[in-house]
Amino acid sequence: MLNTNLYYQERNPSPTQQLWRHFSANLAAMIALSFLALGLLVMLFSPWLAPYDANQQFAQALSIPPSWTEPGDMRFILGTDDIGRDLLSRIITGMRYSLGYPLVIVLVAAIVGITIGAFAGITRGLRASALNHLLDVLLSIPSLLLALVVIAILGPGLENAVIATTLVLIPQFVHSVRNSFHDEWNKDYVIASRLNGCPTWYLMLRVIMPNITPMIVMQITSALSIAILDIAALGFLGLGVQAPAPEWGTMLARSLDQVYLSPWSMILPGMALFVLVLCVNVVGDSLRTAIKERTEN
Amino acid sequence: MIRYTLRRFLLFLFTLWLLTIVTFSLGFLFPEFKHSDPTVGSYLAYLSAILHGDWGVSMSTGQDVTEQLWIHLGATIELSFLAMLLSLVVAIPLGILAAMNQRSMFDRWVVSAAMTGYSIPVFWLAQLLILLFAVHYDWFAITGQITPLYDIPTRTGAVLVDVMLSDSANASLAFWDAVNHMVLPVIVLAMMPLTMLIRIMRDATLDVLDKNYIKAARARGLSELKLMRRHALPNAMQPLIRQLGLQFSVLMTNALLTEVIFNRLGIGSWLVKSIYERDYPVLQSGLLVFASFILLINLLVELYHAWRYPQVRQELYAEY
Amino acid sequence: MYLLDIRNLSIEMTSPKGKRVKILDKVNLRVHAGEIHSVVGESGSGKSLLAKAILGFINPRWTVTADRLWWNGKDLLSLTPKQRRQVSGRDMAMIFQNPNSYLDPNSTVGEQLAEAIPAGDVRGTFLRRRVDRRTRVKRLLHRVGVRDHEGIMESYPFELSEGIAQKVSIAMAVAHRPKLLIADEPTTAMESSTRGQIYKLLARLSYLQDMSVLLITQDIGSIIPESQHVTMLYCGQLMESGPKDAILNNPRHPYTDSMIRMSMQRLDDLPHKSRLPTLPGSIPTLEHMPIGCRLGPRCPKARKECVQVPRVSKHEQHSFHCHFPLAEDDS
Repeated sequence: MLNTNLYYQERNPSPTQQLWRHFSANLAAMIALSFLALGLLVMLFSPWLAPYDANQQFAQALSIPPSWTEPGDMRFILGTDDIGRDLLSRIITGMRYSLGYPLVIVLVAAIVGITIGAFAGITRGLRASALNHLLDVLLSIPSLLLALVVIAILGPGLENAVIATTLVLIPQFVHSVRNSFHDEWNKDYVIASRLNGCPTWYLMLRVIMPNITPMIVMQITSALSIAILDIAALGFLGLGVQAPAPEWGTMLARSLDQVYLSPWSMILPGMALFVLVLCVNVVGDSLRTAIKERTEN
Repeated sequence: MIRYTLRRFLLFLFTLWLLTIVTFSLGFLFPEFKHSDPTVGSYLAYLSAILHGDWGVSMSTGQDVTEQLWIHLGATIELSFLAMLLSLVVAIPLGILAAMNQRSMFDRWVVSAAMTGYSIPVFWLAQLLILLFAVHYDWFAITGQITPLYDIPTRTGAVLVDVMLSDSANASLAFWDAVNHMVLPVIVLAMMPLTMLIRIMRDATLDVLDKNYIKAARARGLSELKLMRRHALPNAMQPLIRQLGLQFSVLMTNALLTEVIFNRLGIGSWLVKSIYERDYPVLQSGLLVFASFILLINLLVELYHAWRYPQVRQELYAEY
Repeated sequence: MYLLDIRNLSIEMTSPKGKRVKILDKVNLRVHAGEIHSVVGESGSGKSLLAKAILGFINPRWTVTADRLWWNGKDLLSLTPKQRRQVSGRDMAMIFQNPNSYLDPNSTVGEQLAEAIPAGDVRGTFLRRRVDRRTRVKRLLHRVGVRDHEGIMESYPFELSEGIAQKVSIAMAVAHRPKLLIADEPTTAMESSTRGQIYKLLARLSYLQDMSVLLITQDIGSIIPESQHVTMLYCGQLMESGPKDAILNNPRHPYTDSMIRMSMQRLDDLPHKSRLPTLPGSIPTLEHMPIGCRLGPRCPKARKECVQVPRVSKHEQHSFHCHFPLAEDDS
């Protein structure tokens, strides 16, 4: 066969390609990533995928165990809860609350937090120092507690839980973006660009941003895992998503009384939550490892 | 070090002061709860009331908040310290062993177990453990601190201490009953910091073992045991100690959930209950104490860190 | 007899793209007892690797082969790793380029020096031992030219200047009276006055303790004046080796010649817009090592024969690997 590549040329992959190479070499990371993608698809198509309406009650089918057990029923693959609602439909529909809302929350928090953080990162003096201390205080208070305070003021409910979680996540973004901007700002390549007379917006967007993007993606995954857990925890405490909605944390709270009678109604939603968080964490962790490997080579 | 301590302490006081402003203004954000107008005068009155230990009266039970506060705080301190202790005792050796046998089966097992444990939602883990150990095996009790039959008077809130202080005839039985009540909450609570600390300890040990001074000490012919004890371990502990404050905050979040699930006395469950009942004096003071407690722990950890690792102080000075 | 006698030492590794590369290719090195021997090579010449091979700290995935790797008449390659470590821990020591990273950041200099003193040296009963250890540490610090022993002993490594840190690490290295001290670019990135101090110190210690010093440097212009022998490395191959005066005044290898010209040349003596007297091209990467004499593509004297590895030519103690050496009285 004719070889058209006449000249041997060594091509070094771009940093992003290198990152992807390290990342995709990790089997667990790829599995977690594809699970997440699957979860996203299921969430988007949940109205068509769920066999029944999430709140439809089957009076003749109360507390039916999953279909693979002896008394199970093929109509209800994952069984039903104590008032006859299909668990599979509830878990699929609940994805909107347990994955969809956290995604929106993280997106909003990231946009706001990164903007504030970027500007905070390049300011100096008293204002920066004051902001720094304020952030340290905010960060030392657990996110769930802060969310509880916000909810205590606004009152329980889905919207308020979403607002609370968003507000709570913003300081984390501000903090990490501020720190990395601060670190990069004094590196030689940025100083060189500054001496070249690049305008500040160019420095921020085109010089520094590409170098901290992996860090931001990592921060986003960790924020996503926090958001998922906090929304579920608030639902569990009865302070977030309210009862009939099929949010996983709320389902777990309900199953607290049912643990003796129908353990599956506790195990299955919890399992879904666990797998989701695990996937997000594995992706974030593998990303961290990949970044570390890339910088080491 | 004195300068550093003073500066850190002043910052802590400043933070506490900020916190009182927040809790004070909280009073005006609640629709139903307006004791006075938000003026400087009323804030000063609030501040002096707090400083004099007059924290108001609960709206739902009519009890004095100050008294209740110490009991609940005692219970939370007991639970969280035991959990932290458990996670440290398990995490440090596991992390070191995993790092020393990097890429072995043991290492892989520990790392993936830590990842899994880190991702389990606390409230689900609690339910699973209840299902297994309380419902299925009936080994451990799951609600409250102690069986009410023992009739132990609550003094400090920390139930083990209370049992020891009491002059009950069945003190030793009561003690084991209290321990029995405590096993599951402590395990659940320890899980999150435990898994985090394993990862931190493993990474730190790997990092330190790769350092030049370790290689140099090894080249000088220092024995492996001495090397670990004198150089590797103290240096690997540094990131762990730095992270300890943060881990404690995480643990306190989970304490909130754990206390609710296991129906235990504690500042977390007290706080959540006050939110349900819109019991604002309790909410206000519970929040203040909960947050100050976390800040205090963070302060202590930071001071210890700076005292033990002098080069940290230098970095801190250089920054300002 | 030589203290250290190395013949045809090769180290082979697998490059990231799966190619076998010899990072050291048949290197010879001989060090007498008590002499100062300089090894000169640019980055990537494998000079630090040579030091590590002598100490026995080679990545276990790399293969080390040698016709002879003798220490004091003993074959080091036949020892088990543990015995090897014993020998190098007892008889050898090494100091490095950035001394601060070789000191434990979280314990004081005094503690670390005390630890470096062999337990057998300390005399007395339990309480006396502490005192004795302390006086030994003081003496050690004085020996390396640190006068303010009290202050230095209480300091943490991050509080030391580079020069002092290097002196401390020399003190730690010579605490157990090694027969060979390997100094891996100990003065790179140091001010020239500090460099002079360190060199004087090394020379004095070598003289007083009858200790050989293997000094590794990048630049032939900065080799220690007291060194008796010089060895030139390029890309893992031995270029030239011999007594210092012979190498400096009468280099036989084109590489040595150009290195000397480069470093001895005063740049303001060059005519306006003339070329720098460097070798053309740049140091090849690991992936693209030339066959034969690795200097080949850059050598001004290279011819067809240079695709074969040249045999060694010897002239008394002066040996060089080149097909077309410079004439004996060329320079």
